Amino acid sequence: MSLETTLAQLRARFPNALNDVSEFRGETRVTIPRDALLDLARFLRDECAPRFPMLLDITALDWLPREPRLEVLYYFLAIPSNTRLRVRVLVSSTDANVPSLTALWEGANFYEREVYDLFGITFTNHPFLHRILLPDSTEGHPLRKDHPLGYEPVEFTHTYAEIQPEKPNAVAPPKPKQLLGSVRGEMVAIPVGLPDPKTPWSAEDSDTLLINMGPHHPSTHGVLRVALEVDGERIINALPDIGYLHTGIEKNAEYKTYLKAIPLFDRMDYLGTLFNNLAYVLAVEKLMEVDVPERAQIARVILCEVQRIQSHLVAVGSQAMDIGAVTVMTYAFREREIALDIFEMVAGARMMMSYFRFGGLAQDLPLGFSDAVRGFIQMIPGRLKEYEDLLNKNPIWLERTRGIAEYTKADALAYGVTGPMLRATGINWDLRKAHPYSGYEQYDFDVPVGTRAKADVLECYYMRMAEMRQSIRIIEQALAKLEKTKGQPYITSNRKIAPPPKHELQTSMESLIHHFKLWTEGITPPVGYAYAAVESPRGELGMLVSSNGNNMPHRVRVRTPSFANLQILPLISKGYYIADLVGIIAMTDIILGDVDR
Amino acid sequence: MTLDPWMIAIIEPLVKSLVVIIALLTLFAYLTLMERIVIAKIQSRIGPNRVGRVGPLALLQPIADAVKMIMKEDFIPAQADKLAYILAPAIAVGTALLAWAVIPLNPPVTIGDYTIHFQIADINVAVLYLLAIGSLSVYGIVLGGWGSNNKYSLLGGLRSTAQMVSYEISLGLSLVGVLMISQTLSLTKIVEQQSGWWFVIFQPVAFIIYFICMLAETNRLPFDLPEAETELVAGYQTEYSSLKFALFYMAEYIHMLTVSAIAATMFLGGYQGPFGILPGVHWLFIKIMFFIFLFMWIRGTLPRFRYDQLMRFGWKFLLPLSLANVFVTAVVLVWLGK
Repeated sequence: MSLETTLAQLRARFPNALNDVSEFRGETRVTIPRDALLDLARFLRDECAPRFPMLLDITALDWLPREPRLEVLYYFLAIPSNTRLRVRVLVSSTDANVPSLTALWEGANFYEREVYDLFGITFTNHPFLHRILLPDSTEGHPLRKDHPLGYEPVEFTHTYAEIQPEKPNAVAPPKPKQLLGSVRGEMVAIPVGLPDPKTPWSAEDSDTLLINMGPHHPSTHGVLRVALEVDGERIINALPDIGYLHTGIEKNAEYKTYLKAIPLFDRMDYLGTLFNNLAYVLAVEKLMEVDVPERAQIARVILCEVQRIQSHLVAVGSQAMDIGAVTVMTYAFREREIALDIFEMVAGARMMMSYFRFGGLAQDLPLGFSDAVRGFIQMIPGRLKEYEDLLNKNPIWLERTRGIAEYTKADALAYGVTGPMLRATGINWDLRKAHPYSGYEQYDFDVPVGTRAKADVLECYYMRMAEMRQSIRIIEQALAKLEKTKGQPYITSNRKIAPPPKHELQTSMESLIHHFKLWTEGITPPVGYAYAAVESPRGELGMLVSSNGNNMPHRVRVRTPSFANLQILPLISKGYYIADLVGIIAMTDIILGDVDR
Repeated sequence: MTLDPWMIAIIEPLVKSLVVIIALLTLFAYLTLMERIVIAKIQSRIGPNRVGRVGPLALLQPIADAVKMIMKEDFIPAQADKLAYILAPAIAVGTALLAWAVIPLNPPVTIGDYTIHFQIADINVAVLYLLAIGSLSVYGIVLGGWGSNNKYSLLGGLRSTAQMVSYEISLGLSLVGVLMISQTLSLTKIVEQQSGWWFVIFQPVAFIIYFICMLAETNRLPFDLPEAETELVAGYQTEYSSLKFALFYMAEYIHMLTVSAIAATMFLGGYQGPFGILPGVHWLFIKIMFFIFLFMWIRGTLPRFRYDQLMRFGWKFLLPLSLANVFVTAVVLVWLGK
């Protein structure tokens, strides 16, 4: 309804710009010429009712051989009405440029750099349009469909055979020529090599110190590099430099059948693997309009909430460790083991479960599952109390977290921050409430929201502790519901999507054909794209699955929460100390697999 | 055969020094084990249990650690200031050991007509000497941080300079309270005066200040900023490997023993034990171990201060408090007419 009013306003304001308004699977897409983009975006943000304060995602699709083959997709979100509008700009490959939205949303910066990096679309007036995920020495833009596949240069090898020149596309591994750095608070690209004493980034000419914090640093939570400019111990600029863990998951998914792509997404956010699975599975289900049986939905909710607890345990524990309280970390990891045992019991794997399938689950829940989960949720509250005893009234902990990395609602929205970091600012925004999926509307739980005007490290810690308690409430209710669905199907009976049970194969010719088709060809969704989002422990994890009617995805775009949450780092760490920076990185709770994909 | 007095004057300190150094190094090795076990228990982990397990303790673990350390490549970074880089661990250990020259370990024992003092040197300005040696120990860390030519090391070294210099003052002032009561700088006399009441009863505030400062002086949590592993990788130790790295560890643990011994001597009666049971050195050992356990307990419980908070705490809270303590002590002493 509210989307209709938005569209009416847009039609009135931009009568010539709305080339095409289409709806597919409940998602509205507006196509506009690129000249109108800036004005339309500003209108959406400032004047439209409801306002669209958040730019969730910028991505692109390549429809080779069609021309104009590239489409740039902007995804706007209105809070709290949960109105979502996708704006499409078509550009041709010979003239691939669009105006940058960084002036309106600071959070557009990383997204535009990513699209530039992977699609070669230039964003005019972007302040720092450099590659972000790939090293600057890369040639070509890999997510374009005409990017040559072939032999990948091997960077680290002891085997001469691997770098033999007769291998297709084998080239000497290129060396990056420049690295992200900061001079007098300005973001610059610094040439790699021994520093020339006359350059401003060597210590000779500047009274600040540029430190490479990471990618090999104990508390950047993976291979994050922070180009850190300090004056004494005070941070002038802390610029996150990412891409050290980029594994091209989005590209890989284009060359696998829909089903086989599931394990790839486990590898992104390795503390919230089931959320990755769930977002992808939901998107494909939305594309194919599949109904999921109740038992599978309940199982998904239980497993996801157990994983949310597990992920928050790691977040709280490693945050405490970064501030020096190592004991909390070992306690949290002790509890996490129990959660991992549950996953092992369900899926055989402890982290990369790949347990969800289109239309349900890979297999039914094992015997004793409910008891194991019940034991887990009975144990957790007491243990949370233990951490709080160690931290909540500890003056050193309070002094190290309160008032550190303060940011406001406006900052969080401008940077596209979601999840506990957004709720800590006082915005009540949880997809489980705002846009329920998997039957979350049936559960009674609260969304913890920050009570102070500004969010800080302490507030985010409180959010995570409170969320764990709410997850326990959800699991309790879900377990009661699970009992009632005993013996019911755990996967859809739609044979075009889920394989038939084994025993049917021996009696039914039709089942045999379905089985054969599913295991050889896989599923083939209709042409179009659908976006599904889940509330992962870090925020909105959304997947845009685009199909061209083939049995492999045309493109899978992942909107990861860590990517957006990391972007706010320079803003919130400025003026604090090196010692705070590790706590701030821990507060953003980034998973580098989630950032780099 | 009788030895000339001058030969005794040479041989006796030599033998004593040797015994003290060997005892300290052994103690250091087993303190690392103790720390690992205590922390493991606090953190609900298993702890060391693979090497030379005797009962619940892995008693050969320190030997395995030592062998491992010796076998590691002794690496000097190309850009390092070699002299400072090599000198730093030696200074760190040397200054930590030097303090033990003046600590009385046991009441004097008389064998025949010869009296053995269980103290390497009974000098009459022993407390002053301790403070001087304590200040020197910062050089090990600063030179290590500077000589490594690494930004993290440098920051670690600078942090530790600021920290040690600030806390040195409160530490010294907290001992002044004791000195005002004892009216002497000789540690032997101070211990003898505590045969009745321990000085901690007269100087509780000074004792607490000293305890906080001794955490800061030894760079232990919550004051372990110079080597804060989550911020500065390993601070001044980042570029050190092999035995040089082990020497820094040795310095840290011996320093812990030293400050604990000073605390025991100045506040808890040194080798004086109740009821006359057990020889004196055992009491000293028990008191030292009490402090060492506190060190470990605190490490298992508290987070780390931030640099500026640490300085603020030192200058704005501890220093005025210790000055006030000295003032109150002086007033009370004058009032009592001493």
